[in-house]
Amino acid sequence: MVFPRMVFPKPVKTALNKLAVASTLLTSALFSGLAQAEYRLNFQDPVTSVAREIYDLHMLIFWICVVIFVVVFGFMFYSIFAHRKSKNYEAAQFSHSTKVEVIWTVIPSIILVLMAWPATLVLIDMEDTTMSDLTIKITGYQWKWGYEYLDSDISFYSTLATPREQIDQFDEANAVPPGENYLLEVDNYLVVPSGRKVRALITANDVIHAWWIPAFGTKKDAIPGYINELWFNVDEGKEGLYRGQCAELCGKDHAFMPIVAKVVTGEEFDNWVASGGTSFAADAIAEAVDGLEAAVAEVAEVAEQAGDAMAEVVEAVVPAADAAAPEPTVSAKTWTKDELMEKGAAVYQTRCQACHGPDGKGLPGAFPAIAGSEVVMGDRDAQIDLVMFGKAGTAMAAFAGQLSDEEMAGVLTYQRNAFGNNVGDVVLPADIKAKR
Amino acid sequence: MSDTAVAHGHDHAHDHDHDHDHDHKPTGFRRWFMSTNHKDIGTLYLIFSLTMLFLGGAMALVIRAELFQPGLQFVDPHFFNQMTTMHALIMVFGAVMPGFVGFANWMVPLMVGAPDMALPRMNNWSFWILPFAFSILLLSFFVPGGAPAAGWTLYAPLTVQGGMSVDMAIVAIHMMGISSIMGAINIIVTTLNMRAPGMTLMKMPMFVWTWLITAFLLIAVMPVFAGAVTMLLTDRHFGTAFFNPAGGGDPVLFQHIFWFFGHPEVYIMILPAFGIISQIIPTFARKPLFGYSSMVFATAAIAFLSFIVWAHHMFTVGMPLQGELFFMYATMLISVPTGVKVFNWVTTMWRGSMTFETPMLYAIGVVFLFTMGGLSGLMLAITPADFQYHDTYFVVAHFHYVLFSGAVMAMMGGTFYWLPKWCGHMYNETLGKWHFWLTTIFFNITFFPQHFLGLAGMPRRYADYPIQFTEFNQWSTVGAFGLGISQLLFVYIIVSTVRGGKKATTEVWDNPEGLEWTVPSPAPFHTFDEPPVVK
Repeated sequence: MVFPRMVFPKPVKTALNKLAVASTLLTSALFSGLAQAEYRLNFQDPVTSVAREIYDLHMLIFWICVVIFVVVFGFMFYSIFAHRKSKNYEAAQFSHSTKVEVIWTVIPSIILVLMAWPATLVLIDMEDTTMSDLTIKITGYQWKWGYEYLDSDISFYSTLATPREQIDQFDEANAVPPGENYLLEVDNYLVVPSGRKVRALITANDVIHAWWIPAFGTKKDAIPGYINELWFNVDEGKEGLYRGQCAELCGKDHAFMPIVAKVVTGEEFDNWVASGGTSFAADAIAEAVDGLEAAVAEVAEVAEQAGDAMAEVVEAVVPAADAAAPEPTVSAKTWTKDELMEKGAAVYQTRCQACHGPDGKGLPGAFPAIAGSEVVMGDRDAQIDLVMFGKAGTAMAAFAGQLSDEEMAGVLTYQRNAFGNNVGDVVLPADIKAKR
Repeated sequence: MSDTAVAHGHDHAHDHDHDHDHDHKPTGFRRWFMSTNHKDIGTLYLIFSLTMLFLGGAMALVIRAELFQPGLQFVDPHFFNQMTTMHALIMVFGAVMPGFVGFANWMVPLMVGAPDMALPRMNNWSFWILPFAFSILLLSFFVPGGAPAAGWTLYAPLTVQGGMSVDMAIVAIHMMGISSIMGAINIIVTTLNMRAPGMTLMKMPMFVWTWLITAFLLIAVMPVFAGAVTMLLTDRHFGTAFFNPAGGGDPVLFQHIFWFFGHPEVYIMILPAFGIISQIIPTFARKPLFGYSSMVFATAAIAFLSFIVWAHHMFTVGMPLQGELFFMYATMLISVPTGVKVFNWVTTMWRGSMTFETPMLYAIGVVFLFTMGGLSGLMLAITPADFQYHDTYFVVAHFHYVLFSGAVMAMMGGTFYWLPKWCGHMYNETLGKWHFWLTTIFFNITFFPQHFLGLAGMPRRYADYPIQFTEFNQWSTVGAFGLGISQLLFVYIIVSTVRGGKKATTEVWDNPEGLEWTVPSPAPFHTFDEPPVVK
């Protein structure tokens, strides 16, 4: 289905003018085939038994409401057309009838019982998280998701992979049109098997988030201090990628922490777990950088320099990928300042940039600047403590559990020597290790 | 000193006042700032409400401009969140609630045959708190970090992270709460003690009944809200941990307290609208309101039920199954008394002799569109389905159907209905009808597509969205600008009617019922010095 495009009326003021220009841009983007996505009128196609039950319930209630609406307003509009003074209709003067009041109290009550019965059955089914085949702990952070497979050692973070150039369109001239899965792309997918009952334990680390995949029919708040539960069992034959978003206002980047689940067959899932949970992560990264020549070139360049295995390349580009299984041997390595800066820059992009900005200038009043900061350029130990253990009562999270020694050392070194900061010293992985 | 400056600014008011010298009313500063007259205070409330409607509306247009297409074009997400938060706070506490208090101030004494409100000095105070409260709230835009950005629901722990703007909002909320509670006390005392001889409770106009019940709701829940934000304040600054799990607190506790206030608040904003509709429809159907006593009982039932359904706003927080079932059933139950009201309105119209002046168009529009919002509310009550609707644009569409096409459009209809009584002139009927149709059409272009956005999966409070939501967001933005611009016509009609126009008769309409239609138009400064006798 193709929807007729809106044409904005003649702009009256500059703001409207800007809108019109933007709309032209968007239209051209659409025609160039970069942003083809169909709109929907109803729920996404359900792929779990619960989502199907919800869909059926939703349609049942919807049609009941439509019938009530048509009947009530059928009477009203008939009255509006027939009982009007312009037709010399004489007003009746009746003003009450206990009989009809009873009727229109009892009939709606019966309809409500008819609605409540199936709703109760679905709800009981939804809340039954027993007899699950595997359990995944999901943690909401500002602004990313953490996944831990409690039946194995696999755990990783999943952050937005949509490039910043597509999001920031403030300067129309330099704007890149949004891609197909704009705002619905992540670096690491949640991998789940089809045909198995997956139980999710949901919590949060800072503020309240909500984990939602519409096609699964699941939405639960992720609340600090609470562990909520939900379950889903994706139909066999429905393997593929399913996308959702955070559904509870969690601050500035609420709209920028999507959820992507890769549903695979049970066998594929077992292999993935046996392999330590890395192969699909690599897939995800490949997909995220796909189409971005610059990023691909960077991968190639890094690969050349390192001349090593793919796993290490991945680590260099997107350090989040190796949070799952940090290599124990790395600590023995001697780190140069350039290496730390390079690693730190990558970590900064995925972990710090959302608040402190790509230019390190932060957002005055809300998020402090890194550039020129007295804290960053001051006492080294104090800065290490701040980043490792966070600052209570603010959005500054404790990163000790999220970053490896090397990543932490890198990003601290980077902050002390980038954006015009010139402390000149380095923070070594050993410094971090000593603090743990 | 400031006395003369302000009096100078009110030269026009002076001229106007000479027409009514026999009323012996004060002029200038003394009249408007030190007023204890229910009509003048009512006017102040209504002007304040209209100003806030435009301010909150301007913020809504910033939101809609940003959402015209995917990507960030105009504002960063942090400012976007300030816009959604402040839009809601201003519309709820600045436009809708004071608007209805304005109607109550003007109409309750006139409807019950009282010379004024029971507590005139408190009346003055409850109004004059508001400009200061909203100045504090609005000044928060200029403190470091900007205005509150955690949503009007102020959920902890996100609000604990906020800057000093959150503290300013808390102070402002306390002031608004004091204002509302004093206003509510005044209405209760006036209604219970100052009715004209012969006007028993069950003879009171429906508008007075709905406000009486609303006033009890206000007194019951505003202190609860004050408690919630005070706990937030001490969590932020004085080391308590009511809502902080690290200190043994509970973030969900905030939501329970907030919505224990928040759900009755929803009815505080809609019951007076029901009252206005119940006044307008009989007048233009030329037929008494059908089922008066069942209307009173239905209003009371809605008010009672509003206290036991709060957790339907928080089905996704992970309540036990029993809790979810209870709140689902209780919420569904509200549709019974609400349905009774809708059926009574339609039956009032049935076999009447209807004409369709602007107030009647608004009344019919409200019944029709509010019922759509009511039915989507019934869908939201179904817990399993709510898991899909919750925190999406489906909810945004739902509450704008009940709040805009319920509360705000009822106030617009009420304005056209009583404006001739207030100022003594008839408004231009053609322009009034234009305003109704423009508002209704643009309202639906703005909010109807948001149902589809929500069902398809677009979460609310999003500064940016995936591309499959583009089309309907564009509809919505175009509709919102049309809706906003149409309201300039509303201001034009009001101003031009106040300044001049055809003289209104005492009755204004065709044989309407109620004491307000027995006093001259415009209603003199002092009315019912001698109480009327109601048979």
